[in-house]
Parts: sequence; structure tokens; C-alpha cells
Amino acid sequence: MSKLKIDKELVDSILTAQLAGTIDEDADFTPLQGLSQPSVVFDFHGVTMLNSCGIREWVSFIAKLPPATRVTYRRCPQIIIEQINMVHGFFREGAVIESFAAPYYCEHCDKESKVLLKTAQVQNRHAPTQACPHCGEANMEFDALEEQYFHFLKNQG
Amino acid sequence: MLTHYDHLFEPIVVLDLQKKVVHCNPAFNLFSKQPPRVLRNIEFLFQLFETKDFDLEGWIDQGFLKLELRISPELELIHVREKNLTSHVVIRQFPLELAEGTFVAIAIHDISIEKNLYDKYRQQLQELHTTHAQIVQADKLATLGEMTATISHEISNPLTIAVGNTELIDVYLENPDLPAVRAELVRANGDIRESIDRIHNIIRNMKHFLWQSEYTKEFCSLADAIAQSVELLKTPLEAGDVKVETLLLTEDSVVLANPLKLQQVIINLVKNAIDALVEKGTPRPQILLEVRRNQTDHSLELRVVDNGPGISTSVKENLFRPFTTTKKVGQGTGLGLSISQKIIESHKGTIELQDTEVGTCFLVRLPPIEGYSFSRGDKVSRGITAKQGPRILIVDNEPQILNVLTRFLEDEGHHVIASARPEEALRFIGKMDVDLVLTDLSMPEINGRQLAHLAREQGHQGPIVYMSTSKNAEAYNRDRDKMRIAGMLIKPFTKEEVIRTVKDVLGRKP
Repeated sequence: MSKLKIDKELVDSILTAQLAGTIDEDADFTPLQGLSQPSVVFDFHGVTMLNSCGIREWVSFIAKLPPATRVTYRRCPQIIIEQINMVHGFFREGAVIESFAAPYYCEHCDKESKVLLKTAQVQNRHAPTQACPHCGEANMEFDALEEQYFHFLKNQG
Repeated sequence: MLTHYDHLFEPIVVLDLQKKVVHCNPAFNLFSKQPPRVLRNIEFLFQLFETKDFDLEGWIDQGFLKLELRISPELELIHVREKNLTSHVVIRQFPLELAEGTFVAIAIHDISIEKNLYDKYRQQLQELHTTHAQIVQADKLATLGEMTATISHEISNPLTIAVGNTELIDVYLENPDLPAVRAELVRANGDIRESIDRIHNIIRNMKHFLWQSEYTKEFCSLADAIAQSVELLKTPLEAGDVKVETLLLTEDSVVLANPLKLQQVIINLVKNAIDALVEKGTPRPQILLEVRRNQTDHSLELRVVDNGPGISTSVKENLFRPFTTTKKVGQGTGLGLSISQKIIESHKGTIELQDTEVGTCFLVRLPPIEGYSFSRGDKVSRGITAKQGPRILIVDNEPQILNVLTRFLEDEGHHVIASARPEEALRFIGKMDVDLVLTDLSMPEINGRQLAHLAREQGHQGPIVYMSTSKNAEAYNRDRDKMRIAGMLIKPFTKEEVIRTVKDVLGRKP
């Protein structure tokens, strides 16, 4: 049984699909098949786990979307960004990553944070400065390898 | 140099000879779910992982002693810093000779997904098996349910006779001169006993059909399975005035099969024929059960032929699909042929509908035992390929003897190949090395002595042992030297006698 929940919302001819749960071998994307909207936004915020079988299902699904459909990836968690960086076909050519989670670490209070960044905030694959949401420290450390984590940006026009 | 590993998909961590972590590739970051900041401060691998039921630390230590490529068994890795997270992995350890010195690399093959999928597959397969068993049982219950009306009729006949005789006995007992009516009393009592025996047989057959374990195969006679099935269907056959004829065109109908499953297939086919014949009011309804040996591939063929209305083309296409039925609602589950097909396929046979001008003809083909001998179970086939122990060929036209001897010898770890047909046994001797032949003496067509003679003619050098009753001991005495017969097992024999003889004969072999 699929542990992936998909909620759809249509506003002004833009369909937003909110994905939550696990993308694995049981993931069922049929509720999203046959979409005719010119613009589709996939909001990955609720995705907690994915495995290679689920990735295969996703790649197969995304490849079947009509070529003219404009696709946006929104609020991608770290696990989604890692897959986009590694798996050919996970990111649809011509699509846009609007926002994503970025890992930060505060040396001052020793806490990790996932900060939602807009793609435009990242320049030259350098993480933007972020203040700690826990202690207010002005400059948290980016908690991944910038060159690798922001690799996906080369696909962004 | 170590940065070359950064482009690989496989998680790799490099240790120096003090077992300290000197490099992790990005794939290791992902696998360990730790940011580079944490990994930079990790001194030893076991600050990140623990194992259950396997001493990984000790295993890695051994690798440092020998500095050679080593591959671990499959193991469960617990991520210490990630609560509740475990990975199923296989670890490869190999030395690295670099300009900077000697290092040891640990490459991790993460098989968690395969493991989870395999577990899920096994679980679903088990569920399928359970469901299938339930469907088979439901079909049997349905078949018996349909037969209940006629079976109750069958039971009521002897019951009437028994009741009538008890009344007669009451009358006789009122006679003051009991010795004078003794003969009548004995006859009435005999009739009652016979009636009760008939009822008992009917009920026993029903219980046997329903509940006996069905998972074991044994050497059994197809002719017997037909006779028992026809007996169980006696009532509906009589009720429909259907004539049934069995034509055995071979003396040997022994197969390695589950006799109850065979019976279930025969009952399904005959019951379908009865229903079709009765429903369409076929004049002089009859069913023919014909058994013959295919002379080309030596398979055993059973044809179930009726002179009924036949099967329409539209039904033929889906005939073996579940829930296909032409019967009225409530009269059939539509599972009988589908289940029969599964049963026959599980015996590596086939079942098909044959074209006929009149009526319907189902052909069931069961492979010869020779073919079965290599596929009858993992135990045997694994044994044959893995262990090169003695192979014993048993030849006897009595399925019970084949079953008993197979059990005796397999219990002792021997590889047993059994055949009910000397002709087949000879082919087998010609095809592969057989270390010992145990052959019955009294068999139709080719007897044991002829078999021994033909085996020697085709170059078989191994020992041959006769099996027969003591009255045939003379045959052994005559052939002992002439055909190098190694011994004789006198029927009836015990397990100890069989084992002793086999051990003795194989021990003598040069």
C-alpha cells in the first residue's frame, strides 16, 4: 500500500501537488497522471523518505508529462536535492526549482537547522548567510559541501 | 589520490594504519547521513556505526593484519547518530598503497532496498500460497457441497436397509424359539454391518478427500486414483444414469505425484462431464477415462472424454481462467479447471482441451518418472549437484515398493532415482552413471532378469541387486556369476535389511 499522500489544488490554472510521506516501490502517481494544466507545481515539503524504487517510479512519471507543461519543484527537502544531484531524470529538463531546504549549523548553540532558500538566493554556488533561528547568531555555517549540494543549479536557466 | 573516490556512487571511507578515518567520499556522507562537519571530526569508524550479531570491528582488525581484499557477510549496520536507522550492507575492505603510505579502504555496498523488497516479496508469496490453498479447499468444499444431495441419497439407502433389519431383529427376538430363527438373525445382523460399512466408506472417502495433507508426492498409480475418484462420484454417476468406462492401455500407470491432488483433478473433470451430460439431457450419456503411455516422450496420458454437447468456442478461450463456468448460478465455482491446471503444472505436466467431433475431451499429460526424479524436490536435485555420493536406481512396478525404498534410502543420504518401467530404467542407465541398481524380478513386459541382461549388454558395470520373494531365489543363484548379480533382497524386507545390503554391495565395489 502506498505510503505517499498526494493532495492536489488548482488555482488560476496552476495545479499544485503536495507530496507527503514515502516515495518507494509502492508509490502511486496515478492521481497525477493525465494532467492537462499548463503549469504544475510539485511541493515536496512533506516527503520524508525515498528509495531507488520510488525514484524509478518518479522518473517514469515525470517523463510522461506533456512536453509543454511547465514544471516547478517547490520546497525540496535535502533528500530530494541529493537525488536531483545524483539521478539523471529526477529533475525534468526545463523545470524550475523554486525553493529548497539547505542544511546549516550554528557553532554558537550547536544546533542544526534546515533553512528554506529561494534558488535566486544562491549566487555562484555559495550558500547565503543565515541567522540562527534558535539563538539569533548572525552567521551560521553551511552544513554540506557547497560545490556538490548546489550542483543542481547548473540545470537552472 | 584519495579524492578520486569522490566521484563514485559507492560510499567509501579510508583508514590509516592506526585505523583512523582519513577520508570519506560524498557518497559516504549521504550513506552515513552526516554532514562533512561531523565526519571531519570522526576519528574512528565505530563512532558512527554499530553492528548486531557480527563483530565488524574484529573483522576489520583482521584485514589490517593481512592487508588483502576481504568481503564481509551480509550484516546489519546501526547508525549510532541516527536514531532507529539501520542499513543492510556488505562491506569490502582492501589495501591502498599510495605515495603517502599504506591505507585501508572500506567500501560499503548498501543492499537495504533489495533486502526490504525481498522480505516483502517473500511475505506476499506466502500470502499467495495461503490464498491459493484456501481457494483449493473452497473448491473441494464446493464440489462436495454440490454432491451432498446425492451423497445423502447414497447414505439413506444402506440406512434404510439397516433400519429395516433392526425392525426384523425385534420381530425375531419376540420368537420364543430363538434357535429356530438364529439364521435369520445372523443374516439381518450381517446386512446391518454391511450397510454401516457402506456408510462408513462414503464418509471416510469424503474426509480423506477434504482433509488429508496434500503437499507430498509419492509413487502412485493413476489407475488407482481413477478408481477411487469414480468410487467417490458413484452417486452422481448413478443419479444421472451416466455410464463410465475406464480403459487402461498400459500396464504401467505409475507416476510420482500427490495421489489426492490427482484425484481432485479427475473428480473435477468427471464432475464437469456429468453436469454437462445431465444438464443437456444427452441420450445414453457416457464418460470414457483412457490411460495410455505416449510412445514418443513416454509421458502418461489421461483422456477424459464424454459424448455431451461439447464446449462453445467463446468458452474455450477462457476455459482455464478462474471463475469461468457454464453451470447455473450456485452449481459451480468456476475454479475447478483453473485449479486442475495449477495442480497438473505443479507436477510438471499439462492439461488441455482436445478437438473432438462429438462431446468434450480433456487430455492430461504427466511426465515420466525419470524426468521427475531430477525435479521432485530441492532435497534431491540439490543433493545430486552438490554431493557426488552413490546414485541408486530402483526399478519396481509396485508404487508402494518405490515409495518405501525411496524413503529408506533417502533417509540414509543416498540419491535415489526410481522407475516403475524397466524400459525407462534402461534409458536412465544409459544416460548417466548409476552406482547401484535394485530391481524387482517380477515385472510385466521386461522382468528383472531381462533388465539385468540388457543393462550388462549396454555396458553397465555397476552392481545389480534383485528383489523378490524367496521362491525366486533360484534366479539369483543362476545369474549371480553369469550376470554378476551382487545380491538379493527377499520380500518382505525391513529397512535394516535394505540398508545393510546396499552398504555391503557398495562397499564391495572396486
